[in-house]
Amino acid sequence: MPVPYRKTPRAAETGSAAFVDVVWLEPSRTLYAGMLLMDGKGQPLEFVHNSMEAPADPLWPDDKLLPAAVAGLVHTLFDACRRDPDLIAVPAGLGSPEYCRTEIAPAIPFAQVAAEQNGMPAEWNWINAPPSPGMRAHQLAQELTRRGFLVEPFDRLRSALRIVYRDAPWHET
Amino acid sequence: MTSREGLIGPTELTPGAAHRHAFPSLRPAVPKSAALPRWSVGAAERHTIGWFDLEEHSDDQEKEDDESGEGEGATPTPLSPMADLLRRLAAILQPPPTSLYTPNGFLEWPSPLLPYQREGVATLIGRQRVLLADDMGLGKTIQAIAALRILFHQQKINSALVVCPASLLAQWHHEFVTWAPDIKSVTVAGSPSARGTLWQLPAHARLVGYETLRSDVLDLWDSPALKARWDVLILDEASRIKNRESGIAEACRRVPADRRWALTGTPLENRIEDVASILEFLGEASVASKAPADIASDLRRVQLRRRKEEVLTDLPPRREIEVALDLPAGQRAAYDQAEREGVYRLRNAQEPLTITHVLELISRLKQICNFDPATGDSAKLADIAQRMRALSDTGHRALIFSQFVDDTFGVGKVAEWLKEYRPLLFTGALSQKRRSEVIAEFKQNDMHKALILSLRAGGMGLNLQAASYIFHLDRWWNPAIEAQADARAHRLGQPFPVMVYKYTCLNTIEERIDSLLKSKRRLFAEVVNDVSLDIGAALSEQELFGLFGLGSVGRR
Repeated sequence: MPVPYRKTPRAAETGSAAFVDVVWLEPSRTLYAGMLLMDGKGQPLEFVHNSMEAPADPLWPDDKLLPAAVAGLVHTLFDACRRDPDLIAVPAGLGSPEYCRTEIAPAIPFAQVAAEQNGMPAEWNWINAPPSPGMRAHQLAQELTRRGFLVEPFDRLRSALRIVYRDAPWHET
Repeated sequence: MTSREGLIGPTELTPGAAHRHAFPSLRPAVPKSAALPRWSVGAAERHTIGWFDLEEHSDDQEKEDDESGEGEGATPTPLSPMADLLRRLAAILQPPPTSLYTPNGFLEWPSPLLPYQREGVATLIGRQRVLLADDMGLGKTIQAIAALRILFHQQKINSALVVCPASLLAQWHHEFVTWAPDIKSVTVAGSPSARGTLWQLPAHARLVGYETLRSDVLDLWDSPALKARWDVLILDEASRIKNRESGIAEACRRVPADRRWALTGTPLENRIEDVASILEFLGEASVASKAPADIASDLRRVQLRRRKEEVLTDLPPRREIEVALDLPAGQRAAYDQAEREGVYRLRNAQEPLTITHVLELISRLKQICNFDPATGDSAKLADIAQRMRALSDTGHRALIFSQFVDDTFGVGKVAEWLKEYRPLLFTGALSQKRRSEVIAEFKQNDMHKALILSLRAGGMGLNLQAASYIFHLDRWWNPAIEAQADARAHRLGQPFPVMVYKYTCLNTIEERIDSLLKSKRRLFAEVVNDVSLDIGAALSEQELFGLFGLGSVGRR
């Protein structure tokens, strides 16, 4: 029997942001990727994850192979995601802005999140054109900033990866 | 890997430490990866993470019902590995608890939780057993609801049962709607068949009165309250179970629950032993044989108690004024005659005298101290009416408490005296629905200058900040009970100083008892902090008989 009750307003009102990260637990060759979609209030909506074994190819050194592996892995997350996020965020350490723009290359507002450092607050560094004030992505970014959800979602995401890939050598990190 | 979608349930997990990101080498070298070989990567796995679902919860509960039997031995049904993973993911992906309290957190609160309330919520969330014994008016209900809401959102709990006095059911429901609009609460009340349905309705939280729970637990062989293990069981006004032998106390102990919270502003009303039953409810080993010092130690372990003066420095002051009145001639004559006749009957009674006989006479004399039975005259009401005129002229409103509910000596007669102030009546004789209507009417319509309440029905739990004057027409002689009544108005949200008037008639039994209790209370307070007295518990048989000079004839 359906019971009428008020659900917490979510993506429909605030839009949704996708936080993406990829973790490599050296010395293993496995990459672990996760994408956490949340609404503007920080409430999780969807979690997508994947892993892959990076091939060892004597013709290609890791510093050339891994970027491609990361991009390929991230694209599998995009493929599996059923929602249309309003923006995508990755940590600053995932790669240079140029790498992110050319290899990750989502067609929606895309930012690297720089953690708080030397007294400077965490902030969005837009890789493609920053969303204009009228766009939902702009309001969403402001809302996430106001609530302190810039860096913290990556912690949740990595914690979730630890649960999913519990046999990975997390203790070595 | 294949894509998979799952439903999320509750779990308990603490997020692990943030993991170090591991791609520093990507920064300096940015190859055009189009030139690199492509590898085959499996499809990603996807989980929908969201707000808990009532029907899902209902299914879970039925599953538990089927498989775990009843009573405290009930054990949770083991989850499949995938269901377990999904539940753990759902929990770990929720926003951190600290972000839930704050105004900017994703849970929006009708007003910010005060620092001490956040501490209280954190304590409730963090412990399985808590006696929240804050002073009345500090928002115990709000703290409990906030803690429940956060636990539900963290998906650490799926079900909660709140037990409270029937008179507070509507208020709890109202507070749920206000402070946790996303939590569905159902009040279990009405006929047995209606209750049978209400116990089964999908809901996050169920509200039930003490008497109803007693009946549904002790009288039904297949009690719905015992079928599943509750994630949280809350007793509001937990001093209701202070008599551990009572059916209510037994019923509360029998309800199986993982988390047990007891809320009361007056854990001790008379004796340290009063709290023993609450401690047992909370899961402490039987304290029946423990020394008071050991009980106090147990109490400190589970109790969180904050005083108004410690945490609400902005609360307007509460001023207590004891008003001692001479009875007018007619009322004096009626009183003297009643006391003479009463004592004569006690002295010459055919049956053995008991405390009950004395208490009956005290009660009769207190009634006459309220009103002259022949004329309806009243020294107390004359004084109250005079004060009402002044306070209503300045826009204030009043609560008037009496222990008597009849039309000759109690609230009915008070209403008659004060009818020009359009008083409303709140007594135990009203239905729950009517009680809620009366409270709402008083709060919303300031043409009603007074609310007249029976002390038993209206003395606890209600939020009546609309009034700033309180009159105790007659005395209960238990400061804990009276303070509880005063706290209806002297609480968060009260903008004015609260004036409390307590009436005593000179040269009557009221004055004698008041004087005797005051001297005893001073002595007792030196021994046990936080304990107050009432007449039945505080005065010995000898002292009670002595009130009427019956020391030598009592207890034949």
